[in-house]
Amino acid sequence: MEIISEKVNGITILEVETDTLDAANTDAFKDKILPFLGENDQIVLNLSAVSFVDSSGCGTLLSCFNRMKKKGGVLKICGVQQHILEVLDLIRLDRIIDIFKTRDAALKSF
Amino acid sequence: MSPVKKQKPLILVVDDNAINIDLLVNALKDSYRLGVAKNGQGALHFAKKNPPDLILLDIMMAEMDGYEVCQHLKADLYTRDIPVIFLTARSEPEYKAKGFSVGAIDYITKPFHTEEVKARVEAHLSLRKARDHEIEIAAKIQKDLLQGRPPENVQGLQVGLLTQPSQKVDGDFFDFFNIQDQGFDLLIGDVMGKGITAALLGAAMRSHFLKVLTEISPVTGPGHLPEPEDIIDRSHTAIIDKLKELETFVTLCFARVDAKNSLLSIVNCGHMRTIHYEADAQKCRLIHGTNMPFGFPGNSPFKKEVVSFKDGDLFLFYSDGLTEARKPDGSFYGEKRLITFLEENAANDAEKLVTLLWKNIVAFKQSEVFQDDLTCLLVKIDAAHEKSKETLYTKIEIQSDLNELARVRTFVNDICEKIKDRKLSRPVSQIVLAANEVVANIIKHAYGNQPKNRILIDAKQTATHLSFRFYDWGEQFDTQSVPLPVFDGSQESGFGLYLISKSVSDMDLRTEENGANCTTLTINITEV
Repeated sequence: MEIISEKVNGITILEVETDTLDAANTDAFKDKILPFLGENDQIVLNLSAVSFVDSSGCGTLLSCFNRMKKKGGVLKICGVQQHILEVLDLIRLDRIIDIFKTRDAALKSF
Repeated sequence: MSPVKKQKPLILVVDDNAINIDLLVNALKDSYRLGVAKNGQGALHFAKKNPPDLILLDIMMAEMDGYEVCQHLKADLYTRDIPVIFLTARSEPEYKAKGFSVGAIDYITKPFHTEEVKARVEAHLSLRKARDHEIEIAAKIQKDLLQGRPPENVQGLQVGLLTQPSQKVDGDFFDFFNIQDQGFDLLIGDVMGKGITAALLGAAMRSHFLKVLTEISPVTGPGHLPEPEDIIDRSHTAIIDKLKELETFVTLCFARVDAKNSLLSIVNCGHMRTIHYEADAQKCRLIHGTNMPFGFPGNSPFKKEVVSFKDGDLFLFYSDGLTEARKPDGSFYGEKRLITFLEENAANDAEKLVTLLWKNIVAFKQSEVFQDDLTCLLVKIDAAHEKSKETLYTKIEIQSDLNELARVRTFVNDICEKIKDRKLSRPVSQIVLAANEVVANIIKHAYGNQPKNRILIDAKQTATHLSFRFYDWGEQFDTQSVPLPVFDGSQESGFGLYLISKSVSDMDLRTEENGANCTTLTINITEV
């Protein structure tokens, strides 16, 4: 799993290069993303490559969000596929984390 | 179906004197339908063939006198309820007394005045009418209340029901028992004789069967139905003394339709032969009964016949009111005509078929008025029946390793994709998610993240459900102990069970006898 970072107008965009975010790889995901969370204050997580997220994946996304919030930063999400959005809705993640359809929409929201 | 038109009452005049007959006929012909018999034999023959509402019976006749005629009438189940008024020249009290003792309700001495005869006939008819009316209401209520409802939603079976009550209450009865997903039992029968006794006894038969079934079922245990011949045997034992006492008997047929194994088990006790239409041959065959009717001693053990069936087959159970429906010229509808009808119309569904049958009988009879109850139960083996059978998919075995989750998702996804002609009530992505959560739970909690433990997954599909079963041999998991997750962002795990419950129609967790834990996810299927 790779995470590619790009900076636009001071905002860090993290492209998550994996098609699943499940119990099998959430630890690897955390290991990869934690350095980025520590170094940046404004982050957009682009999940457009991800086609499956399970409850562990949801928990990890929430954990990332909470970590940023705790240090006064912001984490937003974009590029979520419709069926994954339904899962995030089920556990009300959409009410806690700002979720955008496109990367541009997420960038404009800052 | 149109209401039955009431005809004028039928009076039978029995006298060997032509002048008396003329007098009586002239006095009564405007208000009643009349039958005439010139001797005792003729009277009995007439009464049996066409039961009148009242009989005016001369006592002094050659060969068989009125007393004897009356005794014969009272001894016969079919005629014993017909009111008899004696006509005689003898006015001595002992003659009158004898008349009443053989069962007459009144006594008119000759020479009679036509006005008196008319008044007495009318009085007795209205008395009888009032009595019959009340009892008929009682009997009809009893019958209706206990009327069996045809089973609905039995997989692979259609049931058509045709009932037409006659002008008089009589003894047809039917019911359905042990209704299950893929089968049911049916009972159809006919109590000999007419009138209240027959109607009440018919209703009683059904409750007897119900009673026997409730008594017998706990013995055989849940999921194991008692055998039809045992049900029949017990019911017969319970009711035979009563039938003997009432001097009547009951023909009946008990059948178990089992669509799962495509078998019909039938115990026929003197009832009409069941017609089996075989779709393959496009021909009917008859299932003969070998048992005597209820009420005959030495009937036990009852014999059962087992017939296998295929899609498109029909079974027709009916009472004699159907085949004995008559044309105005007196000819019967008959078994042969019924068979021809079924062979020509078998392609229709069960409900349509009985409607067509009704039209066919009415056209033949040229009337919708029936002397006998007409009862007919039609069971059609649904042509879609094959689809309702279970499909078992190949199972997979995985290791207790979270990296196996991808295989689980592919397995579930592939099966869901196969169900193309039907509609899953949940999106495939949700079903895949639920399966993923179950397996992740097993690995993390039941097996405590210990590797090299087995998880077995299989899938089963019926017409209405798709289910996945997950077997593990780890720690038992109590779903009740898991609290509902908090959604304020403070809780970062523990969403699994909640997601499962939102993603499938039903989740069930149980421990099998062999110690395996089995989690079942069920998704409802609807036809597109």
